[in-house]
Amino acid sequence: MKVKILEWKSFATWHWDLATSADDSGYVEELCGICRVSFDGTCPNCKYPGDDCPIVLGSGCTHNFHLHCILKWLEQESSKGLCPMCRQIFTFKEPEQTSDVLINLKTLIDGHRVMRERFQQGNEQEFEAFGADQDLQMA
Amino acid sequence: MNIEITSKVISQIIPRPGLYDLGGDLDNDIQIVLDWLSPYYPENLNNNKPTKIVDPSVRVKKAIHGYLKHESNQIEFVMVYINTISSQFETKFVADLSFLEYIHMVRQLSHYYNCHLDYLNLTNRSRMIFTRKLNLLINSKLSHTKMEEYFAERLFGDLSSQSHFELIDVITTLTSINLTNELNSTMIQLAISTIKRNIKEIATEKWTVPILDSINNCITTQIYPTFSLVTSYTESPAASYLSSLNTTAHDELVHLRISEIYTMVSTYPSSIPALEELHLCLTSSTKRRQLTTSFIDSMRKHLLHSGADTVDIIHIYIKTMQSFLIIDPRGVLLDQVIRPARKYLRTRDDVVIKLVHGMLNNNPSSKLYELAVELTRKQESIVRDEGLKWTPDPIDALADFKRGKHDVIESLLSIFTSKEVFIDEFTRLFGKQLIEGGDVQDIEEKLVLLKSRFGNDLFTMLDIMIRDIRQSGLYQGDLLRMSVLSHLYWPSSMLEHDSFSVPDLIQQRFDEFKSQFINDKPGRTVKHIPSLGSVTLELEINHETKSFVVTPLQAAIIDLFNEKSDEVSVNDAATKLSISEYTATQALNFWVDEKVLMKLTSTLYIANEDDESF
Ligand SMILES: [Zn+2]
Ligand SMILES: [Zn+2]
Ligand SMILES: [Zn+2]
Repeated sequence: MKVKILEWKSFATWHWDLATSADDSGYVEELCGICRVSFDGTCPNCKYPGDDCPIVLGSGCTHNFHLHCILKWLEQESSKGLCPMCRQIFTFKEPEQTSDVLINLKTLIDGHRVMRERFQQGNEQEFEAFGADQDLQMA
Repeated sequence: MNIEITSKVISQIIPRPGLYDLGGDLDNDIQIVLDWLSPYYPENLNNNKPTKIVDPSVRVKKAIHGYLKHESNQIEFVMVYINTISSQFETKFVADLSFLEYIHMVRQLSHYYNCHLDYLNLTNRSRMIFTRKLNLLINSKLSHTKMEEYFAERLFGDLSSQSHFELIDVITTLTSINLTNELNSTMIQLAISTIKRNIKEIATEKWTVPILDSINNCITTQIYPTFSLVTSYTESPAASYLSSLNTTAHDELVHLRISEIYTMVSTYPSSIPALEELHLCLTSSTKRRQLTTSFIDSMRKHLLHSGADTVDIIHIYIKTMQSFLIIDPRGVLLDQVIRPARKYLRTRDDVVIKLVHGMLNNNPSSKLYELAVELTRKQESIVRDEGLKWTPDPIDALADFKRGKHDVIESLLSIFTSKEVFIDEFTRLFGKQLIEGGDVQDIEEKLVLLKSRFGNDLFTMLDIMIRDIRQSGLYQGDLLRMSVLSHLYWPSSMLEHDSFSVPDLIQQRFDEFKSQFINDKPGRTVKHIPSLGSVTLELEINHETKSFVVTPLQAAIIDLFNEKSDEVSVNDAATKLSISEYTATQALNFWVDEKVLMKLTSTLYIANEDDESF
């Protein structure tokens, strides 16, 4: 007997391949630290997951977010360019292909860096007068 | 008091002074009048040669004039005379006459006594007393049963000229002896029973054609002519009868329909003509109540019990809505009759799934096809012109009656407090169709309709599911056709399947696909669900080629026999595919049923090939 397969219609599910969840058995449900929705879902403003609502992997720390979520976070002056989870300066692993949104993200991060540097310079000048206050603010 | 009329009696009751004036022999005069009046009951009535009435002689006239001068005397005379006639009636009136013989007898008797009376020069009052008493005597001999029988045969049939004259004769005779009321009531009763009988004949279980015209016609042509004939002689208000007859007929029709309402509703739409006529005739609130009670009783008895199929209940629910909106377009009656069904449907757990399947099944033979039709109907058309003019709530509306909620789907959906249950069911159903390779275009079109009913927001999952399937066109390779699903947006039960090892060739293709996907979508990966999907394959066996579309597991099982003439054990198969022996046996047996494999022992299988191929 000869068995000739003509067409094999099959299904798979897609997942964000996160460093922490990359094990052979399957996927680990990980939630975006900002919106508390799975990375395989969407940020609150998107309808379609995946291509339309990508995620960003932190490089300074191990925290990952929906691109739109971290973008919104960093747009706030008060974020000071820090990761909302660990309060370290947020940087991310740049993918090979870039996009307008990623460029926006980069601009925001750069903006925060400039602000921080200016702030630091100013503080050094007024260090003697306001040393105690500065300590408080940095905390 | 039976006092026979004799001259002795008369002389006792009529005072002498009055008679004395005549100057004659009083006793003799009385005798003369009495002689002339006799016999007091006419003889030979039966052979039509009744006693001839002789004109009174001068002597008789003189005697009459003598002592029947005063009214008081006349009255007393009349009383005694009638008493005498009465006792004669007892013995001489022939019992057992047919009705027509009776009428004939009445005419002869009336003639006989009235002729005599004409000569007595009675005052109106005395004459009236006599006539009344005589009529009573004659009336008492009437058999009402025979009269009814007579009229039953004649009244509402064809009025040929002969029976027409006979009828007039009878009517005038009865009227002359003061039987007008009896005549009228007999006629009315007969008319009513005739109408009832006619309606039973014309209307019972006839729902597909209008019948009101023929009922009205029957009244105008068959019943009313007799009526007007009779009333023209009895001087009754004929004009008012016609509308009463129509009302009676309509009431009777309504009465019949009340007993038939449930079956009528179940045969909608063919019963539309009858429903429309019921709408026209149903005017009294009592009848409206009877109608709803009758319907609810039948519905409980025939439908709202554990033996009935949910689809049938929904089916009748829809027909009930459609029917009762014809009977009562304001929806008050519908509101009342549909409540028990709504309450009952809440106790059924398969209502949602049946409704969902019904709405999506475009096959006209579907029992719930109406739902599919309703779903495709434009929403605008549902808003009828009811809003244009405000009217107060109908008096028989229940307290929480809501006007204008007459859309079938809307009504059925509102049985449940939440729409979520429906959305879940739609998602499950469409998901299954999408996985099974259903027509995406068709599903999308249905989804558009559902969104117009339920709102856009509730169908996000389905939108994503459809997009997943649409995009799978991007991943078509040699042999393997992959669809990649967004796992969070598919019902999890659909994606949870036991895994197994696909044939090496397919695994290779999948690995190729996977690296392509990872390359295309940086940061993402895919996870195979081997058991989901379908496989088209060809088997060359005994010099024949057979095509199959099977499950991936069945395909993987038969692939173990490719170009292999050795047997395969259940254990081998299970190990190679990483599945349980039970699952392996099931898949192997599938191919045995298809006569592709043969069972050597309970655990050994071999290709079902002719010996020569070895
Ligand atoms: Zn997020
Ligand atoms: Zn987003
Ligand atoms: Zn962090």
